[in-house]
Amino acid sequence: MIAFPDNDRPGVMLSGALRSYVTRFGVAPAKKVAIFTNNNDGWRTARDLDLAQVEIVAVIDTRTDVEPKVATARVISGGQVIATEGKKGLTGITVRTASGTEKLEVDCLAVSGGWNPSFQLSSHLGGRPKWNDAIAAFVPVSDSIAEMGAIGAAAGKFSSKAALLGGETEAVVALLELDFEPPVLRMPKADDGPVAVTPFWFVEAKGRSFLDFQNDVTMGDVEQAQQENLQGADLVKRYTTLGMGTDQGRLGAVSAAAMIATPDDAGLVQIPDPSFRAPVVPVQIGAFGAGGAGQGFAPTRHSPVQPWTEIQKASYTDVGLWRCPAFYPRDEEPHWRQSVDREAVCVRNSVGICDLSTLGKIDVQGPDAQAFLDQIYCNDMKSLGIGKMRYGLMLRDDGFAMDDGTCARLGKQQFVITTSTSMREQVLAHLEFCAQCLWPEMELHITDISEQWAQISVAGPNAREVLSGFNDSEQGPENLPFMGHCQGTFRHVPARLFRVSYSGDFGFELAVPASYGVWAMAELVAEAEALGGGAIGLDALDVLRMEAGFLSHAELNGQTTAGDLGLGHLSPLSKSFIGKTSGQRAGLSGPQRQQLVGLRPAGAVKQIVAGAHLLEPGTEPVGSNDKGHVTSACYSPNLNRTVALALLQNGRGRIGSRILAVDPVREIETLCDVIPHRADNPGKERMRAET
Amino acid sequence: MQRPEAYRTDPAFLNGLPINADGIEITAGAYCRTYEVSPFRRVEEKLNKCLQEYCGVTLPGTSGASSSEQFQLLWCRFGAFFLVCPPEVEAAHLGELAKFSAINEVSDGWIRLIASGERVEMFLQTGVSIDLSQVPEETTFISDFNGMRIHFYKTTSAYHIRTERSLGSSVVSELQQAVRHFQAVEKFKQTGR
Repeated sequence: MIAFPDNDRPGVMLSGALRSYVTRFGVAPAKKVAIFTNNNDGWRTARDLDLAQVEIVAVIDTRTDVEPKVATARVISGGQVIATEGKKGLTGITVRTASGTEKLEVDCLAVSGGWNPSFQLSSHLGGRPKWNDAIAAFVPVSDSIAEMGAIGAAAGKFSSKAALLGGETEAVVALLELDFEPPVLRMPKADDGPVAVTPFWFVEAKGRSFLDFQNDVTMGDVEQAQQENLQGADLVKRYTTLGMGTDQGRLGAVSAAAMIATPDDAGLVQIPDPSFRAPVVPVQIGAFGAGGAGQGFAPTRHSPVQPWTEIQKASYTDVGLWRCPAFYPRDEEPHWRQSVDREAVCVRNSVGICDLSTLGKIDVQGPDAQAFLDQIYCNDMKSLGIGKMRYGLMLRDDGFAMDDGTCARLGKQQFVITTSTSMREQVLAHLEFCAQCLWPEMELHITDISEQWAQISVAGPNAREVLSGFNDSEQGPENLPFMGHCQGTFRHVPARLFRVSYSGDFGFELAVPASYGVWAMAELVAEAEALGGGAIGLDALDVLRMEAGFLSHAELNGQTTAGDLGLGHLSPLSKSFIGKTSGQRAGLSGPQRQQLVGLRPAGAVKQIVAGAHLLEPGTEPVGSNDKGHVTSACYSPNLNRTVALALLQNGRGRIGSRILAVDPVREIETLCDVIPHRADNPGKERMRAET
Repeated sequence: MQRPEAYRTDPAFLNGLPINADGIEITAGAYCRTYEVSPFRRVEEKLNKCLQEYCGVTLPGTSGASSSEQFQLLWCRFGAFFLVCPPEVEAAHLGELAKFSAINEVSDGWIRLIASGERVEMFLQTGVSIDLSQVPEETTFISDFNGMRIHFYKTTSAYHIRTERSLGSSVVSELQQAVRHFQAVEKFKQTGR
């Protein structure tokens, strides 16, 4: 291309582009065209425009000795375009000639500054290009790359005839090398005109002359780079960002190189040779990740019980990297809700077996383990006795809730804590950071034992019967108190038993070594089925925890505090813990906070939708009236109605009042009673029942 | 305590093994008892004495390994080691070791693959960012293999690859894919097509 003032005005085009419009698509982009060229290719455009009967106002050729090649076109030899005009598009240009300046009325200016061979591939392979004066461009050096040759335009031979001949020659060579007899080819007739280019890179005139249209780099920017003493093509490129767009400098890089070219000892101008990075053309990111779609996108984690769930033809859901059974469909259940409802009911009425192996399990051991956990959790762990466990809430250092789980004390210096499935790595990293950086003086070790244990929940009124195979010298399912745990064997396999329940019902979690997970799951399910229960998936467990008003990631969303979640009482101010100070900041407590509540349909509409906005009844559904949102909602087959949890501004202060849950997308408005979030748990009495 | 072998299930993905290709063999390592041992401070010498007395091994340095007839002690991460023995050999004196270290059994939490063959190093190098040719024998290290955290133990004849059980299926799939890719590249280098 040739850079000249105001060359970014709409209507200024590359000569080759204009030619393509006319010859390939049959479209004339303009009515009055001028052509600005320094080589014969500009005249090809003039010829094609003439054939298409597009008016050519003038061909401005920088060469002084040019012969007109289109009879109808006016030639301005030795001319240079020094300005363009037009508000929304090109309306005219100013041409400088030997005799002065002239204005031409045109609506399109086609510019041809010559062609650059595509030598990027040889450049990637380390071949430095060589300047070719005849075409005023760089060309790949023949044989600079082993077994690679360039032909046609890539070798700087722009005519069709030269391209065909080059192709024929290389093909014959390749065939001979492969011991084939090359056929005698009869090449078609083709143009063989010389390029006849005279180097002319830019017009020296007042105004902004663009070298890089994508990054808005002008000749002035390149001059500025040189004034800043940034010598060399690489530094100029980095300073100006020239050539960093998707055209990768195809348009203006050589012009810019010519601007910064310096004479050598012989007085010949040395244009710095460019180098290129791959890729030459834009490549879709997806192409780099070939195989990175579907299962190849990210590693999948499988529960140790997975071979069993596969046999049961479970329907799966993704939780982080984990593939977890959502529900276990039966032939007579064409709709997923039928399966989930059945599973949720069987827990309340008999017993349900759920694979919870994906939960994070972290062992903390050492003389300072208890003191360490007391700092990690906002609630007290100091008073936790051996053989007992406790719900624990972990805060981030900004005072917001990070994750929750249980903390079981196995010995004087040994604890096992659980994390939610998707937070395992983050919690582990958090603990390691605290141990290694915050309190390096503490003596303790943190071990991720998540993978060692298959953990299976056994919940429901018949849970104890299902676990009759558990043996321990002192404790077992028959006498283990709520939030107690013990170690023993399950049918001769080492096992840990925890009296804990995420379903809000009477329940246990049995942990066996992961290699025994399939066997234990099969045994437990068989026992459960004999009692009218069976396996349940995560969807049913989610229904049960919503009935019970327990938390999940929807409530532990990174924006809630212990107080918001109704757990402020867990955080005694008498002890220190991570997040304590930040949690006392103004704005993190008080009635303006959105607090966890339960919702119960109170009007004709019985459906509550997760994500619905909460509004005072009678107020306009606009953002300024928004009082919170529904975090979790589902149909409860045990309560025969929708159950929902929500974060509601001053929620606890509104208990007993009514609120409107509005889902404008699905056009569902539900009038709801605001209730305590744990008001409706059908298994509440059983959950804590003494054995 | 000996456990009923009949109840134990090998991970399903082990059916995808062995992987055999030109000069590369990847097999499933035999199930072995593995404990993660994390020494407490200032008692390393006592722990070392115990380990030597009961298991015949000593605490190795970072990335190191120590072996006896029945036991191996492999560095596994900052401040922790794998104590490995055959399943029939219970680490009888765990109680003694526990006085000086935090001990957790992790036999079921890790799966072990064994990669061997004359071109195995060249193959593993396609997925591991560490220069394997510079890794001495009897050395352990942790590296990502195509995005998954892997514990390697280089012996005189093979690489022992340990990965978390839940990732085993993904690791085996990746290895299978990597072998196919490796074979294709090698073929291209030799034949040019």
